[in-house]
Amino acid sequence: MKPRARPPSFVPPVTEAVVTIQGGERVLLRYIRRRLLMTVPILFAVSVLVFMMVHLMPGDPARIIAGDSATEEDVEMIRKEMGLDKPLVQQYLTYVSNIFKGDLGMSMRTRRPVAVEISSRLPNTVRLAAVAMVISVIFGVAVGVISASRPYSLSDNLSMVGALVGVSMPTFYLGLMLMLLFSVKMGWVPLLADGSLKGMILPAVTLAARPLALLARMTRSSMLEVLNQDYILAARAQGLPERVVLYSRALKNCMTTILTVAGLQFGHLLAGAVVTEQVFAWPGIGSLIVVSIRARDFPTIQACVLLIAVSFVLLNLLTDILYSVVNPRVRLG
Amino acid sequence: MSTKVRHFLKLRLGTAVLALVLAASVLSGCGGGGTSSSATLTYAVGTDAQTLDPQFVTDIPSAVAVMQIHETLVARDENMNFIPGLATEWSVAEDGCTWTFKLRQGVKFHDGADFNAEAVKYNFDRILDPATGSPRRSVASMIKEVKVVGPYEVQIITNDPYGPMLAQISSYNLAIISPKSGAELGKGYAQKPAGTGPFKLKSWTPGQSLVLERFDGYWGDKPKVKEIEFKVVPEDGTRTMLLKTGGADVVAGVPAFELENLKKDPNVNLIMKPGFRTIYVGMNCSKEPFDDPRVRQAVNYAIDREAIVNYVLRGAATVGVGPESPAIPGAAKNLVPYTYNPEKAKQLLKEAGYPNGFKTVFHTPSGRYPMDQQVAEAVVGQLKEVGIDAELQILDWGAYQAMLDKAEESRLFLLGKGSPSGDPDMTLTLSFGTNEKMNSAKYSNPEVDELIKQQRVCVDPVERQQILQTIQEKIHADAPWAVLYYEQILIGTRSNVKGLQVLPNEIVLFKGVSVEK
Repeated sequence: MKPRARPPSFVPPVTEAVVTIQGGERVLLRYIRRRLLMTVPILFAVSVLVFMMVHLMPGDPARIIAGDSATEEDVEMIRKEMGLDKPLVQQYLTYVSNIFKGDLGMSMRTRRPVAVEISSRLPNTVRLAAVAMVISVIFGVAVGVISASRPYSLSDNLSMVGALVGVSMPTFYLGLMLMLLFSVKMGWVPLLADGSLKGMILPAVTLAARPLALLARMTRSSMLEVLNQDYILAARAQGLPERVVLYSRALKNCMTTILTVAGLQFGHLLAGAVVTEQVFAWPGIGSLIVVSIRARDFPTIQACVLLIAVSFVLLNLLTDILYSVVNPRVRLG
Repeated sequence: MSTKVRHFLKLRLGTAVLALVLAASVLSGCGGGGTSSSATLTYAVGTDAQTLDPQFVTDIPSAVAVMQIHETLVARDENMNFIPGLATEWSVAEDGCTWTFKLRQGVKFHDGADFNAEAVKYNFDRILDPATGSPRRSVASMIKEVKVVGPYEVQIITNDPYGPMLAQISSYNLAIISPKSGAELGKGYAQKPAGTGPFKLKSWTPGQSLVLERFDGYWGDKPKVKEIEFKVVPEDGTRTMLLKTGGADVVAGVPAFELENLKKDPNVNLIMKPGFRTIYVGMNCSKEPFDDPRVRQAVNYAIDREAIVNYVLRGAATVGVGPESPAIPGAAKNLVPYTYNPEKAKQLLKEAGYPNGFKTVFHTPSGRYPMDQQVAEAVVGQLKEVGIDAELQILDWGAYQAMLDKAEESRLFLLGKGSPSGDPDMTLTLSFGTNEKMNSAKYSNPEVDELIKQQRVCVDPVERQQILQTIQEKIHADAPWAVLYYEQILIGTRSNVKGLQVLPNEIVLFKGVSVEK
């Protein structure tokens, strides 16, 4: 952070960051190392839970794969090939030891390695989630700040009603309506993502709607809280332009709230793009999960859930680290 | 006031511009170059193919892809008649066990290998070898031996006389693959197929799109379109919109509720054909009260099939009578339908000792068949009219199958029965044979069991048809099912797409397709 020109008499609380973060680098690294180590038991627990869940789920994958009119002989053949005839404990041990070898197993549905299935789709999901995240942070925070700057005004009320709609609207409905309006009626954007920039707009906006609305509401309420504090009064009394007061004084103190919500929402975007991906035929992890559950494709379901668990853990860690950057009063201990 | 407004506007504009600039910069970093080629025909499907190895296909979307790339010895036309495919003629010997096939000459596989008798033998040996691990080995399990008689002549010898032989030979599981690629690639053949078909694989991004291109060395008429892209679009509504906007030329599985809407569109053409699938309400014949045929008939009379077809399915189905769809060669003709008659249903219930009806459960899957849950709800309502109080239980497909396996419960259930081979042999056996795995109605009639055996060993088509007719008449009278309707295949095309072949087993062939400008 480079020092900024400020009125000499006023020291906003945020500048403390500059002081305490020095020398904290080693603390930070140790913290990250410990947190990463902690993910091992978490992932172990997740793997046991997921394995149990998919195997307790009613429905025999061999029967589902065999199709409508397979004979018992056919089903038995599939069961053997998939290793489903072995005892459950043995299946689990094989599964875990393979993971340590970097082998996530073979998809029962497609008979391709799960790692290939996932790696061909993960970039799509991350790309969509990242764009949606950027849209929702920028517009969500902007709407929240504007609303908080003029509380209970017409623009505030409109934005908050909009945010309520955004939070409550089912994703598949929003997606289909956007398609109907902008692709079928107006013809502005292609119906399906064709790899072009334009094709990405609708799915990204659909996915962004909910976190955007949530961020707008959270930003507004925490801004309102901060704007009531004395140092804001002091800043205004010093005759600082309102824009500086809002963005450089008040907003910084809301960052922890915004980061928490944004971090969690990003996790949800990675894991929860199921409906959006389905509606827009977006070939990501979400649509992979849907087809895999329908087919009782155990290895793929397990790998996807593990992947989501890992990304949640990492995102939480990242959020915590960012806390200490924006607000050094948070001690990483 | 005015300064405040100005200030507010400035603030908001500043934020908005910043936001737009940032969003644009991020978006542009992610954009790839979108290309679209008009020489490509786009076919939107709900589910991607799972394998391109015919011997591993267990689902229709894979079968459709496989059948553009490969061909069978005996093919089928749009009415399911047998026509020459890779075999030009065939005959069966007196003993009913030895089938001779004369093969087409001058046929090449996509990998350059020659098609001949050895190739045919390789294919049958491959599916029969347990090491191959084909999930559909049973399709060929009647075969004892395949003999190469000449370079273009093979003999297929069965253990016993086998009536449904040609139907099995024409199944997509027995489409012929190149022995060269098959031996080199093993299981990897599923991703790099080489058949003799009019199209060959160009590229495949699983879960997204599969592109086929014209095979210039094809023995027959060359396809008119250069490329076909199978595009995976899981959502029904999205597929329909693609059809309306021209984003897709052909769309599989148009939902019934979109029919009215699409019929009005001059740019869209709908292909509706009676399909192979029968949707029925099964009854557990081994448990009270459904162990009494009068109760089962009462259920049959209590259901208003016309209303279900017209109002729930918007006309996209054919009212059902017998267990086999009339689109299947071998389906019984002239069965007397159980026409809707609630009075007769009540009377039959009274005779069976249930003057006040009874309580039971009704299981249905949701989303397995088009409108399945809605149909089940309608049936439950109609049964209530005659005093049968059925509690509706909805399960997802995996759980549903597990439920069907358990026989103890007295129940009604909604289920569909397809016919992969287009011959009643396999489905009659599996659905009505005593203790067969898919006999979820727990139906058992020794006479029917015996007749099923007889038709299987009968290689005379006329005689066999008579036995099949008798079997279906008996089942119809015993009424283990209340047959509701036969599904219709719904394929939507842009109106400039001509020559698409749609078979009643849901296979779509693009060989003769052209797109008019």
